[in-house]
Amino acid sequence: MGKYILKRVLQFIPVFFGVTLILFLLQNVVPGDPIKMIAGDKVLDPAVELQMRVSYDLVQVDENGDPILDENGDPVPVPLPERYVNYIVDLFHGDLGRSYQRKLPVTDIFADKFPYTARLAVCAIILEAIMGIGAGIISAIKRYSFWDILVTLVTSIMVSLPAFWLGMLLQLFFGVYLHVLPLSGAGGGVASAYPEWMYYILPAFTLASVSMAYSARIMRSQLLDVMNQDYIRTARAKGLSNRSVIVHHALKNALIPVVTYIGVDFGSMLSGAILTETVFNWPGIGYEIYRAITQRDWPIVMGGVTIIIVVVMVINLLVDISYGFLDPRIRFGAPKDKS
Amino acid sequence: MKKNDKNYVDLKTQPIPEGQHLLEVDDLKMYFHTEDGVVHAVDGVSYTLDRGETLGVVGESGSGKSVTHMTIMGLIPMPPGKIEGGSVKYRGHSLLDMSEEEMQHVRGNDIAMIFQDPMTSLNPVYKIGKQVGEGLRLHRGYSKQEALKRATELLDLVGIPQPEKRVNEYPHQFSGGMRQRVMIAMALACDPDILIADEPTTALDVTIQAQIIELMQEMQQKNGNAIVMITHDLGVVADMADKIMVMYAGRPVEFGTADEIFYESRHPYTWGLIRSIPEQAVDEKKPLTPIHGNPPSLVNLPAGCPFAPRCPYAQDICHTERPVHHTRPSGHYSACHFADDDEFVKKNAPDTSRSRGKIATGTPDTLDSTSKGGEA
Amino acid sequence: MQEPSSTQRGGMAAKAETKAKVSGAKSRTLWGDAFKRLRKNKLAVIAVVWIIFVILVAVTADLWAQQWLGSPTASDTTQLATTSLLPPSPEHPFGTDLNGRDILVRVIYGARVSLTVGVVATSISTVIGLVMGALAAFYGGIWDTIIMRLADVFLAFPYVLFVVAMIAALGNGLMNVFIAIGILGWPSIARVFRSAILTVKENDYVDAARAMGASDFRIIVRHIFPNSVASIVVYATMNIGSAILTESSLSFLGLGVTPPTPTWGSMIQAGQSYLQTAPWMMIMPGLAILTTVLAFTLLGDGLRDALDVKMKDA
Repeated sequence: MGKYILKRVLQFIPVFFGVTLILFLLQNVVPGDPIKMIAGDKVLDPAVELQMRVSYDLVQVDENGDPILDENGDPVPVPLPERYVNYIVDLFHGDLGRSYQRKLPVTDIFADKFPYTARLAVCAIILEAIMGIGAGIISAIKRYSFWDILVTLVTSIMVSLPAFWLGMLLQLFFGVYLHVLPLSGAGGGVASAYPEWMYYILPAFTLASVSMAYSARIMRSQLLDVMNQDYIRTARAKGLSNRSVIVHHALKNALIPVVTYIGVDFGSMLSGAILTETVFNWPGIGYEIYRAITQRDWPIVMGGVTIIIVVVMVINLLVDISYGFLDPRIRFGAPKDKS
Repeated sequence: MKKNDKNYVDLKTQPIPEGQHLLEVDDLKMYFHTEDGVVHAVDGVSYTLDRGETLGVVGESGSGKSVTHMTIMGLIPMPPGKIEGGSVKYRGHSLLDMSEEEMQHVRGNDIAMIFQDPMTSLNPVYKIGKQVGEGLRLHRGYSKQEALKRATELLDLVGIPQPEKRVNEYPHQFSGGMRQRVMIAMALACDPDILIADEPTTALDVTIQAQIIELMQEMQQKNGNAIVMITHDLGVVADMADKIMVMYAGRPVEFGTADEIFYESRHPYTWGLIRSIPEQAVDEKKPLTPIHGNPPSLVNLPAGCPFAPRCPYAQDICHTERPVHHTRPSGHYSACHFADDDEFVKKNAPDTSRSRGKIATGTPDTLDSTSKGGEA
Repeated sequence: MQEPSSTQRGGMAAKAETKAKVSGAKSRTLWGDAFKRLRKNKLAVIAVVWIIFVILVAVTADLWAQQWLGSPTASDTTQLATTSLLPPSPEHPFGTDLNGRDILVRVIYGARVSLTVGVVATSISTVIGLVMGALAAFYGGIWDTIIMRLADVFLAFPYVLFVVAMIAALGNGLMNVFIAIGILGWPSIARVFRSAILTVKENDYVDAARAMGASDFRIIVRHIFPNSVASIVVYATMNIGSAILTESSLSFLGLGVTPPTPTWGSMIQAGQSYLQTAPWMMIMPGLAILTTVLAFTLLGDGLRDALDVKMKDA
């Protein structure tokens, strides 16, 4: 098991540096110049621009913090590799840059938003696990029945519609027509008309919808697959009832890949949050990113994206490791294939 | 998981009705109804079996030997399978008429089955002890501790070293031979009347095959159970079987005592099987004779004898008329139009007038039974 | 949705089929059979009909749509009092938006953006994926490691966020949407092509071709590609649907294609503010996305079944 964890961590390292390198290049090379991206369409005063270059560590400075100029009087840029190293160091210190427009560190802007996103994602994961796995099991057990066809149909539709549109339809139906659920926001204020938990229902369902459909499909095909395995036949030959065979022998095996999928899916929950939170005015990271997009405040957009991506990568690593605890074949160092 | 029904009486404790056998299969027919047509998977199988006896069921893959016994165990999903006729009587009780719940009492308790591939036949996520003891908890109402204790004893019984340690291990920690021993322990847990072994040694190394067969025979001597040994290799059953049924295309083509099959066979297909036992060919410096061609598709069976297209002796009648069972007084039957033609048989049957030990590919005499367990 | 074929027991026929598929020489009957099977799949046929319909409408829109429904972009600000936010009616089958523009004509012109993005981005993904997959599988070793690690890196990115970051870096514009979505789709195609090549590579005829002195490129183009084309077609078809979905997410967030060019995503975004008073503003473009993406998904499913392509995940 220790070897397995070590292997996973070692695999994680190149992925981490690869991902951060891509994010770094996106901010520093693709736009031509990070200042251009930050400034957007605005034309900057050269003095202000130089000052920005200093504050963003883009140019070399002397011990007084003044930019070093070359013989033409131009500032000497910091070489790209050094900037990447600085970027990684900053990242480990939780420094994601500053919003030029709001004059605030990006991390400060997101600090109190993250819990909202995390809570929403957790609710969505729970919903996904219960509904996705449940629907998948019913669909597999009652294969070719009405319920199976219904699940197949609904999941096909769910993966083919934009989740944000589904969210708006839910708002329209439950909020506007039926008035049973709040339209948007996270509640919690004195004036909110509904208990706080009700604010979670629609966004969590919207956020979970696509993953729910996928986990139902995976659960179904896994269970059908496991039911064809030799050890299921063995269990039947022992005299176990159909129910016992499914509950005690098939489910645990079929669940392993589904649980892995759901775990890894936490990442797509966090990234899907940008759309869902926009629809429901949910005060999380995603909505903040959306606001930054509309204000063309690119450091915030990049910072938010970076936060989510780093969190997602770490979660994926943890899920990979916990997968080992679920499956004895991995726990005891056996190859994962075979049956 | 436990059966609550305390009043349930095991069928295996009931006496066999006068004039009947432990297991009587009579003209059993089971077809699969698929999109591609009706598959005649089991097409008129008949045999009888008594306690302490071993029946060898021999045939190529797809000949219906496994499906027949899955049908007897009630393990064929219906649909697509469907019983089309015949009967299976166990101690006088018709298994085909039993409810699913009644069959659950029979499975693993009265009739147990072990399967070909021990690598995939054990559940990878449960410990060995739990899997071996599961039947005891189910059929005997054992507690967890009792079942685990008995499972340890059973592992010991089937020659697994350090059983106390190994009950707490997972299947992937066992070698193939050890897993098949586990399967045997699992099958024998409830002292079944009949043990159906579906190619139990095919997936194993040759040396371990012999050990497993020996173990099954040893257990049979202790428990007095009957064994149905399903195999594609006539050599495997040569030594151990009392009776042999040869199957082809879902039908039994010949049934008799082992001696009758080896020395007095009256069916060309059985002859082909005997001629393709490697040891015999080596002994006699005769070329190994394969049976040419492939078994027919069970969807569109030829009109006459299903073996006719591959049979070197086929006449016109073989292609047009399905042969009936030509039964001899001893109960030995052969489904060949010429089974009663002594001249035909004499002219074409392989010469097997040597001792049976030579034909058998079974256990080499030198194999030391105490060496078992050395492969874990 | 993947499941073992129900006719496991009709083994002979199935085996014969696989053989026909692998042998390549019989590829014509493979596609012929696949077409026959596809025609029997009602959902796939409906999907094809719908896709053709949407393409025809989008391509020919200039010829008839504006005369009938007015301009998709310009609005007559003087008439707003009578044209703004009208519910669906015979005159405006999908209603009108805040600026009094007909929503149907905007949906029709939005289809142009969606279909173009779907096809172009998928083409980019497919080309990159094929090259990467071929490099990885055919040269193996260090190439394989680097490329597959890179694929891992790309897959580790949450998809939508990556596109957002790309557009944030590249700036708005249709071309950048192509690039952002196209670059992101390659890993799955590369994986499929790689494993297809690895499977095919085992076959003797590749050795035979090599023994006869064929170059690697020739072997890939002449021998391996035709044998992998079935799985690539299936993946690409499904990819078109997801590219359309991604574009709609981008334009919903206000990234990518800029106003006044109508896109389905931006129309839904515009409709959000009028959810209570003019729900048709968001419902109609959403239905357009749903039906189009669903059609590509169903067609992909149908092709997968018809071509007997095994998919790794659901």
